[in-house]
Amino acid sequence: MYDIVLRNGRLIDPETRLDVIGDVAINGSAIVAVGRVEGTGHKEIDATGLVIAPGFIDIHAHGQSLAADRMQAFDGVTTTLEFEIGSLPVGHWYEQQTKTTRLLNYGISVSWVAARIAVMTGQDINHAPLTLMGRSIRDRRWVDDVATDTQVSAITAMMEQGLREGGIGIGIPNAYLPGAGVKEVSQICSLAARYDVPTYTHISFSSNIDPRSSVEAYTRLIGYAGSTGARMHICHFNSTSLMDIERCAELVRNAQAQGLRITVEAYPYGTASTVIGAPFFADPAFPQRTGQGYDALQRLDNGQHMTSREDVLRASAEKADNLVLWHFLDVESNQRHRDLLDISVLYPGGIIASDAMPWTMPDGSTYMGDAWPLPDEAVAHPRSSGTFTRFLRVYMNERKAVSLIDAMAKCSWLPATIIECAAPTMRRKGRLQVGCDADICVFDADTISDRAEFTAMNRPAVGVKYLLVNGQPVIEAGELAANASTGQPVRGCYRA
Amino acid sequence: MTALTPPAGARMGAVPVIVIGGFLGAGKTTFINRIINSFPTRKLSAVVNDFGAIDIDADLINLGREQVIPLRNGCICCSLQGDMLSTIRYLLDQPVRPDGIIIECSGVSQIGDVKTALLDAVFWKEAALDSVICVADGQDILEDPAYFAQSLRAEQFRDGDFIILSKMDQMSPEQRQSVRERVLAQGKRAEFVLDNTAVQQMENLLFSFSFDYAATPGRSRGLRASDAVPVQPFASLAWESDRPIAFDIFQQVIGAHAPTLLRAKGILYASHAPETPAVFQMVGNRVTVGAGHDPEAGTHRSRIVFIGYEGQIDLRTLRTDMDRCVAE
Ligand SMILES: [Zn+2]
Ligand SMILES: [Zn+2]
Repeated sequence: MYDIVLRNGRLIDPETRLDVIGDVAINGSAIVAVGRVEGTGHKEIDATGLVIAPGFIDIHAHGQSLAADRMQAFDGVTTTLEFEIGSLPVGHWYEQQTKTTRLLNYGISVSWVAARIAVMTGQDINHAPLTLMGRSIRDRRWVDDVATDTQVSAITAMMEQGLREGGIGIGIPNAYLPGAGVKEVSQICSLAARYDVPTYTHISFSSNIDPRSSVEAYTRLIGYAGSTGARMHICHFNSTSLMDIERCAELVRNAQAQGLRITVEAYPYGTASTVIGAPFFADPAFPQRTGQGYDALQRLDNGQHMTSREDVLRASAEKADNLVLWHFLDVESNQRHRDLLDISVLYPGGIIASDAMPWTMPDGSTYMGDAWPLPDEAVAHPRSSGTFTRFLRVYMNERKAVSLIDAMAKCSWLPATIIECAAPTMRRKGRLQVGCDADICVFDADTISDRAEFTAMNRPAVGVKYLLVNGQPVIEAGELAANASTGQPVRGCYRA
Repeated sequence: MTALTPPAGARMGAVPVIVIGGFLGAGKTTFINRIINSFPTRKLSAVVNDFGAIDIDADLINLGREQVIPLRNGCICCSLQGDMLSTIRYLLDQPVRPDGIIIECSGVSQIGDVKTALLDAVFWKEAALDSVICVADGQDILEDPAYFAQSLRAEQFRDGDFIILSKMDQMSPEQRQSVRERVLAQGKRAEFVLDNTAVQQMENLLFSFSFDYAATPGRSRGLRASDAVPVQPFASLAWESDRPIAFDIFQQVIGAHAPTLLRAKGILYASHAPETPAVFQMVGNRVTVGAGHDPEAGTHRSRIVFIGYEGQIDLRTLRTDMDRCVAE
């Protein structure tokens, strides 16, 4: 007799490429049988017509509250980790979580930001990661200043203590610490390399023009990976590369091909892209195809008609004033823009991560209550409710750009592989295998969809019928089922 | 709260957002007050940075609490996105929706962060970045020959679509001219002196509701459009077409005319997506194109209003060039 048997679903295990119809048996918090299950369960769940897959693992989630857990549960997430910013002291952060209800497995990285705030300004760092950054801005030295050698030693010492307390790697939100020097970052990367843990970087610049271009920032990151041997994970590859994503992806691919341990994540939401000068819709065949020639354009200064694309480009180059910054916000109807987003979302071996924002109340506080549905006035980005389901709806269902099993790999197994060097228990997550944790997402692959939008951010995604976290139902028959803490901490574990 | 929110799609486009930057003491508060007072028939809400509150004095508080909202989390980076989302959602959920939102930024780095947050596609459909205005102390520029050598200042100017110069009233005409020339040399196209006429002059440039296409006189159907001169010293062109626009050529036209344009706004139907209205908005040299709502849905008529300085904007060539954007 098993605790729970999921019957007759489409079993997906991305690691072993398993894709068959079958059952899953669960005892306690572990998967004990996968395939044909003979015995019965105290609880039998009919999964006919549904996919049974490992629950999704989100390594970039700022929410970290009951409200955030609930919304992410409907997005298929069973493990939600705040790695981009992180926290300090790490032990204290984990202790705080045990005082609240957490439905999903949770974890934190070591916060470089917090170490800088503490060492360089002496301000109190006992706040949730994003709140901490906001509160500490009264004294900006941690943002703007280069740290002295003594300060760097103190910062890295605090961070090393964070690793010892179980922080899962190191958050390097470089863009928010523009004053930090390369020597300091390289020390932090060396610390990560010594402990063999990942770093999670929000690159220092996002612009398509030098100096301080995205390309410069990625080149630096690749340099850190090469010179220190650190594992460097790139946060939201989509939003920081802008129009240079093709070139950025090429640089990262080359670095990976040389054995550097660099990984990328993306979320499937359009971002404003800035185009400088050259036409976004530039297409060499354009004049012929449309019957329009470049002689359509008259030069303002001398009244002459332009006769070729080269003429036009030359004219723009001559007059720097002519540089126009174009922001395109419309992914859906713009093929070129969509192609650019695809490069990061479908990057081979890249993962999906939400960058989910905390649920914020009109007075600016983070919503920590337990109302369900969430109060209307609690606001986050739609990413906080629909990143994974949106990815499945758009990329798997509507555009058929990714297969079910590859989509599952990007949502669960690949994220686990990025962090299992630091948190060995992650080897039991992101997999539908005997002995693994019963973190399972059972969903209707045809109807799965995000539903949150600006005017209704608290609208949960649809399609996830059952969600098990450590063998406990969090969603049952499409409804929220859990009110107690089903989530467990994921911690780092090191020998260095 | 739900009952107060109009159903999605019922709205006539996004609420325009003006971002105001400038160093402490440059005159941001004065300017924000003048904007609010110069649009008495509009409901404008100001979002101010709690931690930069030294610059926000009793003047602003006099406008009433419901019109002035502090950003509580200190207005930085990714905490900013959450804070702005909730603040703007709060403003849009009020029984009377604001016609415009003004966001005050205290630090230099904030302008970029606020711009980035507002250019999120989710925001843009509801609260669209309209223009970034940099308020600068004219006296400082006059007295400090190395004013623009300081990177923070140069950056602040670079971010501004329009520059407002304060503390110019004590200067001689020559001094004023020298300050203006130095600002123009930074590649800025429009600078205004913060005096009684400045906001009046800017009325045509601030907030997209002030130059609604339909309200522009002299519009005509078909490929020909008339020139309309709203308020000196500006001249404008209202252009429209029933046939879709070749976007590639359009971008070139805008690029070519950019130095003479201060603002442009309209609805576009591009030949690569002739069924989908795109909202086009140009402020200074910054253009934003995104999915939007066409109040005259079904007509598929592209229409744009261009505004420039009288004597600089070449209305005739602009119209000819625009006509050539129309796909055959
Ligand atoms: Zn980030
Ligand atoms: Zn983030």
